[in-house]
Amino acid sequence: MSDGAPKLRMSAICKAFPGVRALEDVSFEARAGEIVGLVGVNGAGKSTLMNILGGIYQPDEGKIFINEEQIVIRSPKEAGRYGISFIHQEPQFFATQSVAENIFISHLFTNPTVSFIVDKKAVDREARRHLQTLGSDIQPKAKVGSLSVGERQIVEIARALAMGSEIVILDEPTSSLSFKEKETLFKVVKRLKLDGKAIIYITHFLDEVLELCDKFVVLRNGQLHGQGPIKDVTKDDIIKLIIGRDATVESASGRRGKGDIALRVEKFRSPQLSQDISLDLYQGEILGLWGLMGSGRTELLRAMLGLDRIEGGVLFLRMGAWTAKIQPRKLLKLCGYITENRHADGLFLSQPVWKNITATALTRYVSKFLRFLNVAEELKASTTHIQALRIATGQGPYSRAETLSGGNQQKVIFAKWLNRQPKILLLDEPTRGVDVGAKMEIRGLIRTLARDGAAILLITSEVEEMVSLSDRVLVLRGGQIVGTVEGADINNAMLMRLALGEERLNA
Amino acid sequence: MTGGYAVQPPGFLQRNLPQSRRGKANAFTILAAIIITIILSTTIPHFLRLGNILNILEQLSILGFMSIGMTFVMVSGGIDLSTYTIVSAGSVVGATAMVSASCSPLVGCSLMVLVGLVFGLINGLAIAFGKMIPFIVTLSTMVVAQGFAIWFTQAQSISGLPDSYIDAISGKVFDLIPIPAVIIIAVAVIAWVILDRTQYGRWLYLTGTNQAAARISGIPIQLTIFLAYVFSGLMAGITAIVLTAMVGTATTAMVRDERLMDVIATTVIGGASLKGGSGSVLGTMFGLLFITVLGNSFNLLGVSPFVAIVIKGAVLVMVIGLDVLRSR
Repeated sequence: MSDGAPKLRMSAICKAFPGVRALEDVSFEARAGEIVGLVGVNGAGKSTLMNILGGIYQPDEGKIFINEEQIVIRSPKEAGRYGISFIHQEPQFFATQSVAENIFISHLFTNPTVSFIVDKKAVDREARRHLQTLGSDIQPKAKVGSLSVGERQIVEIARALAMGSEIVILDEPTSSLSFKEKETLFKVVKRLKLDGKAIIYITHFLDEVLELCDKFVVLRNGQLHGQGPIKDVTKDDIIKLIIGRDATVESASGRRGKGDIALRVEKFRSPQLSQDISLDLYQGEILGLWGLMGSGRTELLRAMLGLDRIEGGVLFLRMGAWTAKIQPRKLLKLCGYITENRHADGLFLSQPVWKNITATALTRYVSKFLRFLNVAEELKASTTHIQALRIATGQGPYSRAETLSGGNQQKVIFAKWLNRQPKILLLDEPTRGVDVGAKMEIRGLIRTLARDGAAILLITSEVEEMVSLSDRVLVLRGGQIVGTVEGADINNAMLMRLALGEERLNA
Repeated sequence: MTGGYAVQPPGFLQRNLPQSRRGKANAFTILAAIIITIILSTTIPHFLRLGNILNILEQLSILGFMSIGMTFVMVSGGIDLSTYTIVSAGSVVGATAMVSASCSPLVGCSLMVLVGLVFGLINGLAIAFGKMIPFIVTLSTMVVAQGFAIWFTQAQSISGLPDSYIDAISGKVFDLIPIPAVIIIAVAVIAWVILDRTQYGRWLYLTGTNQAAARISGIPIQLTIFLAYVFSGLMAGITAIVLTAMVGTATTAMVRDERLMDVIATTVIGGASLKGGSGSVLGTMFGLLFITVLGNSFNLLGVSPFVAIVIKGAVLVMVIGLDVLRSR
């Protein structure tokens, strides 16, 4: 580690968004040849801080210094000029162009005599040099489209080198990498360090911080909650800083007893899951699937519904008095499935609310002869749902879905599935991006549904939501179940510990 | 309705008239058509004569079948460039059967429809199940159907069609209304019912609006898309039946190339979007009227057909441009 002045210093940074203080008085520094681990849960302020450094946001207060010289970063382009580079989780490239061309995309070498002709040899040679600096054997001539996500990140790092960057920010780089790719990436990052770059490494995987970083910086609720050399701390210390001392043991009371098994998932295996996963879902139960992003929680749901390729696994569904084996596709036709991203695969945005609500159960409104739709019945059912869930729409069932607020759109998606009267509901982030009022209403609705006997599988990134809703929680980490938590053990501290990887309970 | 809503449901016209994706009625096309009609009817002596109006209706039918087929395909989020050459393929097969093999007109017409269905089936299989790009698939089918027609006839036109067939199609009801006009109205009504009132129609709109959401909602998206192309092929078959009788001979180029642009213009002016999920039969009928009136008035005014093509192209770009501007 080099001594002397810090390469980068951010001092007393404050940033507020309407209604939120995203950053309050945050200061830290990074020296050349140093890897700083920036940690904190989702929403702690990591991204905001780095977006300020990247020129995407302007700080309300605070100063940024590079080599002890104060600078103002007005745009991402300026950030690049100051030698700041971002390495993204899933880098975007020109897939049909070669690695070398992508590395030098903004400043291709031109032929010395004819300036508008690209000197391909020079481009390849220089690209190879930068890749070798990183200890990578990626071929400069390979098409980026043929590379894996991990290799693309390395290409992006090479691009940062080629642009002469001195400060490299890696944002959750490992969340979509396989184990082997991760090791390769670590080697590359260590090379960068030897090369004298200042590196900021954002992650919520603490093992990576301990293995890779020289220093840690912990953010919580937009405030700095500790920093220092890695060698002075244990993982437990960092977890305490991340969760906070006031992480009291909160758990919901009045857990319900179990009914019969509604759905049995046996030995599901897919490329995204590192181990076979089995679970039982009971009637009238809310079963939480807890884990960080990339832990395999959404992947497990998609595999169960036949939306992604699976390598093995069997589903048993309760049909009356006994359970029967069914195909994943069949489950998709029988259950309710609230997806993570309502705009991508939840809503028919340009269609009216009533057509959204009846989309999953059209057979109910269809005549036997020629399958005519009974539109009057559809409107009646939609209106009932709109009133029951108190969906605010300008023109009742006739409003187009895109004109509704986020919370109301989410309620439309609930109505869409409830109209099918499913016995099993799979909820992936059911309250993401909705206002507090709607959040409370939706949580109430989930509880009511479970009380009425539905079996509910819940994924959420909000620990409070997990704690207040779940009867039982399965914790996923790295594509496998690392623990089952029940009753009073369902609390903030326990869930965070398991997800971050401090301890392991027997599943 | 049980609801206590003080909201009027959208009226029939509001639901069916040309709309942009944002749902605002496409007032421009309505207005433009009305204005053009008024100008033409006062300036061109023969425009509002019954004879000319019936003439327009007859001209309209050929474009109409293909445009209705295109509407289904565009609602699904695709495009079908092959319809107009499939008409030729169907026409020559049916005509050959009637002329050389002395088949009855019924068999001849069935063969025309069959050829249309087969090509539609190929398009549908490749696009819905083979997940190939509609533009490329139907462009290839367009060339294949054209080539097939030329090979099948050795580039000869087929005349001497049975009178019973020609009379049946090119006759008039009550000595007044041309049969093609009756057929197009019947087909349009059926297509409107399918698209607006049946489960399949709803599948088509939902699939075209958001395929991922439709799939998760349990809608058989592949079957839905497949059937849209088969329907478009069926429309090509019906076009072949009517057009062959109207022309009196079957040739390898029954429909001129520029009619393809007319079909797309008609459908887009009628509110369909290349992004899928919008469009309606009534809107398409409206666009049909617009394009046909425009062509008809060029005719009456003696505008050169080549200039007419240029003007029609410009109108299409204008309409699409206005739609883009409005939805910003």
